[in-house]
Amino acid sequence: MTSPLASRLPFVAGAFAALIVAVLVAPLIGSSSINLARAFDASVPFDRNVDAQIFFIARLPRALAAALVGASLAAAGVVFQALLRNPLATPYTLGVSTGASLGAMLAITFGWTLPSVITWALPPVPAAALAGAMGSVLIVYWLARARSAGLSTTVLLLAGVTLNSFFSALILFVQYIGNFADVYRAMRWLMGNLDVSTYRQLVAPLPFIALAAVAFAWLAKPLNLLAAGTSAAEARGLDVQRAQRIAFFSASVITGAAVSIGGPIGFVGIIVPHLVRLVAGADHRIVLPASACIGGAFLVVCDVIARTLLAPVELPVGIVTAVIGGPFFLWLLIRRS
Amino acid sequence: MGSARTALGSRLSTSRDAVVRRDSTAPCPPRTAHRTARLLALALVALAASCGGQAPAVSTSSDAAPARIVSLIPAVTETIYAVGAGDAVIGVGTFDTYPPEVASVARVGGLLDPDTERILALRPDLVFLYGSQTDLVAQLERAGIPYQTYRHGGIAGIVETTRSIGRRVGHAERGDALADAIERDLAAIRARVTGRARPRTLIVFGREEGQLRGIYASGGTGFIHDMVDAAGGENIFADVVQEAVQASLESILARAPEVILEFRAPGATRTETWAAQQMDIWRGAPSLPAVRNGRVHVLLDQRLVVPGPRVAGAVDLIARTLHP
Amino acid sequence: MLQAADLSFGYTGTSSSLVLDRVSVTVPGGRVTGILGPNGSGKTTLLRLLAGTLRPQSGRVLFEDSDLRQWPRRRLAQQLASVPQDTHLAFDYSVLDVVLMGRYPHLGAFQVEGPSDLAIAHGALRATGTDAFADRPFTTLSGGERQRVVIASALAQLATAGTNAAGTGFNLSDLSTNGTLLLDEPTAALDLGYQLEIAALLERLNRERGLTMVISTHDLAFAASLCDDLVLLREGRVLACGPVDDVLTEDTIRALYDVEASIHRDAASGRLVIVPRRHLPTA
Repeated sequence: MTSPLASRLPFVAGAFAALIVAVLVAPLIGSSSINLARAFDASVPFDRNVDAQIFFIARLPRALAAALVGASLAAAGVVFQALLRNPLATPYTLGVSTGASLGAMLAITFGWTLPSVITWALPPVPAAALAGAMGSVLIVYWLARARSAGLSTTVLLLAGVTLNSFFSALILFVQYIGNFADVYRAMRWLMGNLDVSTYRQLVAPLPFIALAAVAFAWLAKPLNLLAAGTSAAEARGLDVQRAQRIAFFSASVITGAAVSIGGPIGFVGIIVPHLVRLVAGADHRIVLPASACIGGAFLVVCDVIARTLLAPVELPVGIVTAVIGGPFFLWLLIRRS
Repeated sequence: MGSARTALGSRLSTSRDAVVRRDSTAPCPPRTAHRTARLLALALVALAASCGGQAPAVSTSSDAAPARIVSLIPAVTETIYAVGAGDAVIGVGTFDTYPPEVASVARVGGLLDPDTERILALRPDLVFLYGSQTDLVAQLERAGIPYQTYRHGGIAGIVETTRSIGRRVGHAERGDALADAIERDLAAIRARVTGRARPRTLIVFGREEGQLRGIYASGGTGFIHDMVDAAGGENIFADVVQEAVQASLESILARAPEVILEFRAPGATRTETWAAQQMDIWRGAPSLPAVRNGRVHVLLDQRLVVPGPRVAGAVDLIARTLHP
Repeated sequence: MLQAADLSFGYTGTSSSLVLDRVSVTVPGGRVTGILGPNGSGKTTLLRLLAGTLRPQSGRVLFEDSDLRQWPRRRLAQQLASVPQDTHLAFDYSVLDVVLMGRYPHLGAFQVEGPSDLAIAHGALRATGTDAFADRPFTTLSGGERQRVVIASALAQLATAGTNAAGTGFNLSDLSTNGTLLLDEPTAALDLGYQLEIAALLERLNRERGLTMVISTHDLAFAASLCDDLVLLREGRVLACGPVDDVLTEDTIRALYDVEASIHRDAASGRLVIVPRRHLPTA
């Protein structure tokens, strides 16, 4: 007899294949037609090779960014849903993305500049977004711990939702005192955008994402145990406090990193986990990697649509994910009831 | 033009100070509005203001020249002073900075947040406001205050507005003279650049700090496009019938501009040093002819921001940059 | 062997609201110990303290002569398993998934289940008569079926893998020697038929393997039929404890439930039969 885990592995393999295919194919599609042979022709100097530049500067980094951000958000969605024992939880439920948005708002509205040694790795807006996200995580954790030494998910949820509201109000305030242009650009940032144009911008958040990924690998079994409740998990030998802490921090950190790259892109973190669970069962050892791969592939596809539909104008990718994701989610809900 | 340049020079230094100093003699000290992307502000304001789609509305007025004028629009304010009715101005918008005399005038808000109370308290006999500010229009009508709405347009719109403002504030002759001067100057510039090759130009008026992201370029309509067109440049996004285009890097690479113009309002962070750094950022796209040939120009000039009577000077600046 | 010494516990931490007050209990190995008492007497709390999922304010719990707090979590879970009153899963796991979770304490952090774990899981399902449901979603099962699956999961948790590496099947002799099962009101929400089923299963587990069990219940008949020893708990204090026949008397029932009852022994089954007659409300 094969273990249920083994019988579902092909699904993960398929999801991974889908991700690879998406990342390889996406740079071939775009609003302008390019000559692939010329793009890869090493004899032409790079700074004269428009085809190469379009492929390697305008398209490939975007595909990689979309894969990274999509995978991060989908995986974070899985972990948050398991931590809060609620299939409606999203990576943004606990206020991480609002903190990131506030940081980005401030940087855009007040035109912050940073010393060039930092901006080489991380320009001001993504840096502020990352800082805002991490600050928000710490505040929520501190609030959740203020009540008792343990980490109650109820208090965590309350703290997160409260912080969400508070930061949202601050964001509105910043928009109010900003001038029209900054407000416009800030609102565009909130809709999501993956036009990273350099690989450097993916390097700085990468350590956060990698660390969280390692934590997720460890978390898969603990999350299965937590599905039956903290008591039952405890009785099966899980250090529940530690597992919840690791889950909270790793999922929040990866969300913060993803939002700092592309803005708060919605729906990836809630549709993909649902979809994967529907097809592949609830075992997190399958759901986590599969969601990451499918989330990445999904966002790559959405980004291709976003940059080709109304070319040369860019459509914010968050609109595409919402237009696809919203009705799909409704369908899911209706189907369930 | 010379006097305009000196005025510009002195105004540049005051603008830097204005960020730090508060003028305590004015009843309502100017808000330290952040000016990093003022050009984008006004371009987009134009977009918003022109969405109204209605003809400029004028309320009934008396025959005497107005003596208490309020203007929420920087371009209109400049024009009022330029036609000689500056003494009658008692209230200006938050973003007005030219001429220097406005520093001591009361502020009454802008497009998004007009201070209705303050406007009414000033007891004006003429208010210039945006066509899209329908709430304020309703208030003024209720209070029986004469007003004139305004819509941003291209260069033709600037010339027409100059004449109509001149008439409205009782300085019709000077208004017409000024409009004629603008047209003459623009014709001279056009004559100068005719016959010379028109470089393919990317006109950027907004971009995310420090990176090639969130690039806002001028489309084929609006006064920015008109200015560059008059100065002998070929807008690479002329086919997009929008004033503001959030351009993807791919489309910029595909259209291969020969010159990149970045328009910004000068400010505390927008200095010459900052301008010099922007070239490095554009090196991230080395295949662009503009980058290869070092033809990335960051122009920090208030006149590029305001579609007002100094437009000829702005076009001249652009023309000298495009055709050295 | 499981022992509780002088346990006190209150959810809000003040002495005036103690749920358990200086409770001492000894659970002899290989026997079924019942914790009997009315609702609110502290049965579930005591069970959680015995399982180690709650920490007492004072007193301690010893398992195999070591304080529970000294036990490494996973090792403890390999010998001490809990069956809660009801199990709600946040996601749609299959029955086999649920039973396999009982094997997690035996696996390393990144280790996956092997053939012997799978054999143990299927054997546990067979032992509880739920093998046919293995691939069904847990949530589609009836109350009684679910309880049996959770018991199967607990059995899988207590099983040692050693003798079954060949995957030849699991029998109850593979349970760990000191395996102890804690059950919280296992029949509370079940129909009579399922109650009898569970009772029969538990009795078999204890009889054939000597599996130590602690069962909390407020069902007199269930306690009388299944348990070897009883601990009577009222308002957080131990009223009486000892072998069933000694402890379950008309006096203790009156003291425990404010109920006058008569007790007989049923000739056919040899079981104690308690017939409640009259409620005596306290003044």
